[in-house]
Amino acid sequence: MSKKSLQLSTGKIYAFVLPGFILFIFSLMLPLLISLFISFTNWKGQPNMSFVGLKNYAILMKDVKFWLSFVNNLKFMGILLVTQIGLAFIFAIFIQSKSIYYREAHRRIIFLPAVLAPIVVGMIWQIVYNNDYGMIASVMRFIGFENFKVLWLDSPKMVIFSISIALTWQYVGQFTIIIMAGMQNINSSILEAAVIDGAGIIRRSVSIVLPLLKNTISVCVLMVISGVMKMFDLVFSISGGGPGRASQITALYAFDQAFKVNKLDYASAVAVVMVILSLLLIAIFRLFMSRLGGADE
Amino acid sequence: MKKIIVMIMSLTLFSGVLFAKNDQEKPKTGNEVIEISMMDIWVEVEALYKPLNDAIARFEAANPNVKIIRETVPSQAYLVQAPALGAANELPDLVASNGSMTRQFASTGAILSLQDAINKDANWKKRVYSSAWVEHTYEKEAYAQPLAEGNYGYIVYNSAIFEEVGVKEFPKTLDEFMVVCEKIKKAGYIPIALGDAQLWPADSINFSSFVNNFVGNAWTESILNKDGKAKFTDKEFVAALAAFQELATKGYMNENMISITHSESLGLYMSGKAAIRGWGDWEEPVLVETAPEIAAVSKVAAWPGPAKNAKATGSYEASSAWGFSIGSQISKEALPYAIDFLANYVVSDEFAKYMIEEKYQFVPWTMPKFDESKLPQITLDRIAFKAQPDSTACMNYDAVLDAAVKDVYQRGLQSLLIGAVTPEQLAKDIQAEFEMSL
Repeated sequence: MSKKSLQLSTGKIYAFVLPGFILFIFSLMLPLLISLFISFTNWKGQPNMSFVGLKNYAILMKDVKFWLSFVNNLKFMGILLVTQIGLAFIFAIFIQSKSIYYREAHRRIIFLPAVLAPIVVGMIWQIVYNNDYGMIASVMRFIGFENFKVLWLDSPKMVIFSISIALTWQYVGQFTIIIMAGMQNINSSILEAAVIDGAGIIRRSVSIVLPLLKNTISVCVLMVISGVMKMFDLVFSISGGGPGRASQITALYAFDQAFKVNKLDYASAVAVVMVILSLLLIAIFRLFMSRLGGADE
Repeated sequence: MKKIIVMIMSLTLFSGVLFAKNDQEKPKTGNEVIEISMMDIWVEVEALYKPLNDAIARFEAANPNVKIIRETVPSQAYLVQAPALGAANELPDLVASNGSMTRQFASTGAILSLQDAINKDANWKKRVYSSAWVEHTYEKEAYAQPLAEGNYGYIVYNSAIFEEVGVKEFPKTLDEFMVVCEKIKKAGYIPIALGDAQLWPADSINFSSFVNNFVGNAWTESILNKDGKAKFTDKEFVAALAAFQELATKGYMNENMISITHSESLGLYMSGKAAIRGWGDWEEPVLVETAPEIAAVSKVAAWPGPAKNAKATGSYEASSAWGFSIGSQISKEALPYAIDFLANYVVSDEFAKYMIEEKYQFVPWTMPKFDESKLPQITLDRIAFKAQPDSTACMNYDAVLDAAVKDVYQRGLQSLLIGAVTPEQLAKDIQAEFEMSL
């Protein structure tokens, strides 16, 4: 069989790509373009709409509530980058270690929460955090700390951390699997050489494994950034954005503006700016990584 | 052969999918059944669940060619789902809406005005109290048939706990109230139970009536009329916010008031852990049936007002917050039946009798004679409380404020209760949003 016969013609390539491309256009690009269009109007669901130019964007630039929501997104991002990826790295090292038994079982248990619906996870953690009958309060009472009380979801200082714990619990398994897949690509002879040189597990992990996983970690970071920017359901179910607006995030703010306040035009502007901010964050991160240089082995 | 069978089966399946009749399509003419879709918030445990089913049964018996298909959605989900359907102009034929929703849907044409139908039906117009339409009126036209004449925002308190801490009479002023709360707190009880996870309870069941003692009904009417005379930054409104905040910051409310629901706060009261709770009349059957021993020592009162310059006393909310609207996508064939259902089967003696005798609630239309002996003591106390000369019926902000103002106000109340915002700042924020809606 000649090499040429294995190559597809340009027409065939386009034919294979076309169904996915059509799906992409109708499910992603078209709604985005419709949102962009509505954001330039005064449409609140009424039969007629008129163009208002950049009015919604001008209001948005001065909207403290929106920018506070974005700051909350950044807070979530900061915490989750450390907890989800950091813990996932530790779990991956732990599960890969030869001294660990039942590695497959560990991997499955850690991954299990990732398959649950975020709404369900929100409800589970609401119960965990309840100060009267919640799991934490019950355990503390059982071991004798009757007066132990943390306002997990009632304190504006605690609520983002509390939700981040739930998010970490849910997604750490997913990142563990990704990092473990990256570890498979590391040449074992490098690690064996390090062992011969007397490097312990921490030294090997920090000085060898971590640098070699740079691109894998980059993918995880991008997943955290995009995940936080589109996050909605878990925060909606666990705190509703409260207390007050202490855990309100941009997606929740857009939802409230669209369906509680009925400002569909303004909510569309919020959605468009959310896309721009997400792309900006990703661009900044990519720039940072390109300056760092290097790649996975 | 196998391949041919598989091909035939696949083709049959494919053509079945392709040419299947759309069950959602409404029959247009002839003797076919007319379907009316209906969506509401009253699931099986709610007071309005059964009388609505009974009304549907009576209606369908009288109109065998019409079928009402009812879907009930729990309240938290409904408050998300209904506005989303309204925004998409895809509301069902009959849809439950509160005052804010009614005006929102009416402003975008998602629901139909009932005014012409009401004007044409003298019996309907005469029977429903004119005040009941207020919360469901948009540009001087009624858009929803209210279902219950709700009383809420009054207080139910545990007189046994009061006696235990040496208080024989419910305090008349806010200063006296604070002293009582302190005594209750020291005795190891939660003075006031609150659950605001859904955002509306702090407002709807508590602050709307609490603030009315400070500002009075004329102030609220001015806000609703948008005549510019009343402002949220007025000192009386700010003083009410400050007093409400003080109740929380002094530890007179349960610490987890933001993360628990209104129902969970009822649990605190019914378990005897809490002494006082803002109340709604629909909760009386729950209390009587679930905690009869607590019901036996429960008494009715109003939020106390300021000692000086009070603009009202004994404020409680009298509100027909929820009603039924007709979605604008209803077919021409179904419309007269939907109107008939509201005018003659919802607004009916049977509906009213069930509501008062079984659920201890009044309806906003002429009541038939009912058996008063069926009412529990707490309901009789509430009726007596309302009849007192110093009791004042007031509006429920949750039902009358614009949605955008309500969003700032209700989220702001949460921040206020946890001390994250000052009363002055919150008042400014609400006023700023209010001015944007003018």
